[in-house]
Amino acid sequence: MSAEDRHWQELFQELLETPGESAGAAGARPEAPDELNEMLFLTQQLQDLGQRQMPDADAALARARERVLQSIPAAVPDRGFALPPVQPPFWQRWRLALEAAMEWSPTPLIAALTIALVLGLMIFAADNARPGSPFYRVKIVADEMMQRLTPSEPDGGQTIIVQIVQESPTVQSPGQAHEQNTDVTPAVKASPVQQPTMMTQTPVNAVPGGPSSGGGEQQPPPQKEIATSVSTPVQSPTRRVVTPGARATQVVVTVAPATVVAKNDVTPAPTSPAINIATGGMAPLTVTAVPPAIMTATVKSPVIGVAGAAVISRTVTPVSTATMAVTDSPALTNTPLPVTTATPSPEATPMPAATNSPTVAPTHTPTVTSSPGFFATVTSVATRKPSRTVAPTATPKPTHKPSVEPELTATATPRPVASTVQTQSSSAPVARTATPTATVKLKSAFGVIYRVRRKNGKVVGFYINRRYIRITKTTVVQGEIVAGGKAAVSYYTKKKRHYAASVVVTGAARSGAGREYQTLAGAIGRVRKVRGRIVGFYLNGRYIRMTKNTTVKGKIVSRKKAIVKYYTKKRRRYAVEVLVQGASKSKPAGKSPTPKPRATKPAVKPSRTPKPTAKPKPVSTPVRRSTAAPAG
Amino acid sequence: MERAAARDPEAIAKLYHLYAPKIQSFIYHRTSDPMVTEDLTGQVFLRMLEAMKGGKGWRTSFSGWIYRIAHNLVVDYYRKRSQATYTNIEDTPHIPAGNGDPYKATAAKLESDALLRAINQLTDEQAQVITLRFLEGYNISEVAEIMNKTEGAVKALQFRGMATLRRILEQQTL
Repeated sequence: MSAEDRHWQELFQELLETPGESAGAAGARPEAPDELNEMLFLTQQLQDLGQRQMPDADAALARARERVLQSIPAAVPDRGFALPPVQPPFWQRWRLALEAAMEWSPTPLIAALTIALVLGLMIFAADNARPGSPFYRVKIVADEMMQRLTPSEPDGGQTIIVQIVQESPTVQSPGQAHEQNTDVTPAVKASPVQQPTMMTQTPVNAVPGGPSSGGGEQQPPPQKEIATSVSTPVQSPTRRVVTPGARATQVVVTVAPATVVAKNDVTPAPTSPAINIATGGMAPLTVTAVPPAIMTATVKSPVIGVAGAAVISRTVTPVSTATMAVTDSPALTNTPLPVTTATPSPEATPMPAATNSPTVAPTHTPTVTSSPGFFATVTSVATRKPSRTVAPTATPKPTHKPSVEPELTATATPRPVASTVQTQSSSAPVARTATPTATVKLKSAFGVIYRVRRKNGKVVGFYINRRYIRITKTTVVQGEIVAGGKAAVSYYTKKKRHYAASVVVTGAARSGAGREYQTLAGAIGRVRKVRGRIVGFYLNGRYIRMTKNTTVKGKIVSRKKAIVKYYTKKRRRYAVEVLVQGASKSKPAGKSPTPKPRATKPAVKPSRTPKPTAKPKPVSTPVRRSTAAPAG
Repeated sequence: MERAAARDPEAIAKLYHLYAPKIQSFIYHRTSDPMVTEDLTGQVFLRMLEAMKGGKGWRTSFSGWIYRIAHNLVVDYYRKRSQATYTNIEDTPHIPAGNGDPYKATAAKLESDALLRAINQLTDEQAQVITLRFLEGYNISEVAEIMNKTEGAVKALQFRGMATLRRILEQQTL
């Protein structure tokens, strides 16, 4: 602040603080400039403005106070700005909390306790409920809740077993079940660790007629342990309890009905003790297939996974309809379980090969070879006996006769998910008889072809859905395989390579006629490169991106003129063709120092070669002489 | 003040009764709108309570602190108001004709509005000094105490504020 400003400031302040002095008095001072007078006048205006009082100020103040009081609970949780309460000792907190709850209202607390008591009583009463009982639904709900609340998976599986056992009182092992007037549930619950081991050790012993199956009273020691561990009164006369080993077997039978052939994934032994136990020694029993029933019992339990009770995930299939020549016993005890997947019913999945000529049928009999893979392999083996002569004992439905559908029925080739195709199915059937036909799994893909590979102008493959599909000689192609076109491809995979079985190009190529192209001409601006590769450039202030399909004629260099044909997609420009012309004439001369030495070079060159220029002189002299001679 | 700083309800209530009229007058002189004044006055004390609850009370001067809150609220109000692009004619403030002369009342209103707009264009400190000094009628020492500044600093702010205010009003009339 300058001295003059300070002077006027002091004067202004002096005038303001002088009582009774105002703008008019300031104006009386001759030394005061106009600015100061104006400031004093402005001060007067402000003071006049300050004299104005708010209308209904008291009422407005009261309303504001009410607003504050109403907003205090939201703004400040503890109203009244009291100090934070002192924390009582932890041994008094529960008492204080209870007192506070009772002080607040005892009704909800009493209601909650009552509801809990009633629920507990209902669950207790429903614990032994049977189907038909009004408490049975309560029991089911309680069981489900117990399963969900079971902390670990083994315990959960055990809980499931216990529940299933409880719900299947009529199923028992005839020779093994030793009746006890006990409730098993607490026994199993009480020995969660012992029971699986019991079942693993005792299934064979539990087979009726076995060495240790001496009836209900002669039990193996472990079974006795469990049996004697519980001795509760009879809850129901119909409830019969078997030993733990047999109990697990009961689970098998209960889950997998007797009308189904069970294949044990865990113990592929022909004679599964579990089945024997389940059937109680009645060999083939009811464990026969009734197609097309496909039942899968998936009870996840480590207990179930143990031998004797290994029914963890039993894929139940009807009797293999494909094995016309195979002696397929209904009991399935002698089958080595070659196929580990479910075979749908023949009616449900008609095979494509069924359309083939049945003339081949009498001469060939399909045999199912066991393969560890997902699909079994059907091999055509020449046999003298036609397969149709074989009585399909294991085939429940004789409608699927081998005479109608010969070896190509591929009945042992299940198609649970994807369709299967025989790679040589399109060839002549005679060739099929000589070479084994391999079944492959066909997959399908539908998407946009975004890159096409050609070899000698011929499409050899293309990318679709990030997969490279190769085209073979047998690939059936409908439409033109062009990048950008929509296509539906069915392909198979062989040695991690995808081969197209059929390609149907459904949509037009995206980069085709439907796209609008624009042309732009001008000087190339900044060229953008990534790892030495041009990815785009500026042309007339617009950034043009290069794609893999961009055709470039010439070299894209800055300040060169170019004509670009491009399309716009999502506000981005992609070049289709780039035609680069000659160098720009608008190159600034002053910026490049190199032309100067180039210009000097021609001037130097003649000076360095004076002799050649002197040599022609003698040549020209005779001419001159000749011309001069006549003159002389 | 100490009791209020300790969040004593009675002390805070006394502070409220002491400063509420002043804050209301301060806001009214800055806004010239009774409704807005009523609203902002309540907000000032709510902010005060929230700050005290969060342990962010005043450090040196309670009056300076509470005026600062009010000033910030007024600035926020004008800032939000400037973002509005239209005003319903029904919402225009009621202009009472005290003397029965609507022309004079309207002229006074326009004049006061021009002054308030000019004040709002000053810096925060200048606007606060001008308001406290001339609209609220505090003297230099009181303003210095409120603003926690020396009297010389307040005088300088006052002079510069008035000079700036004059220039702004000149430009408005031009």
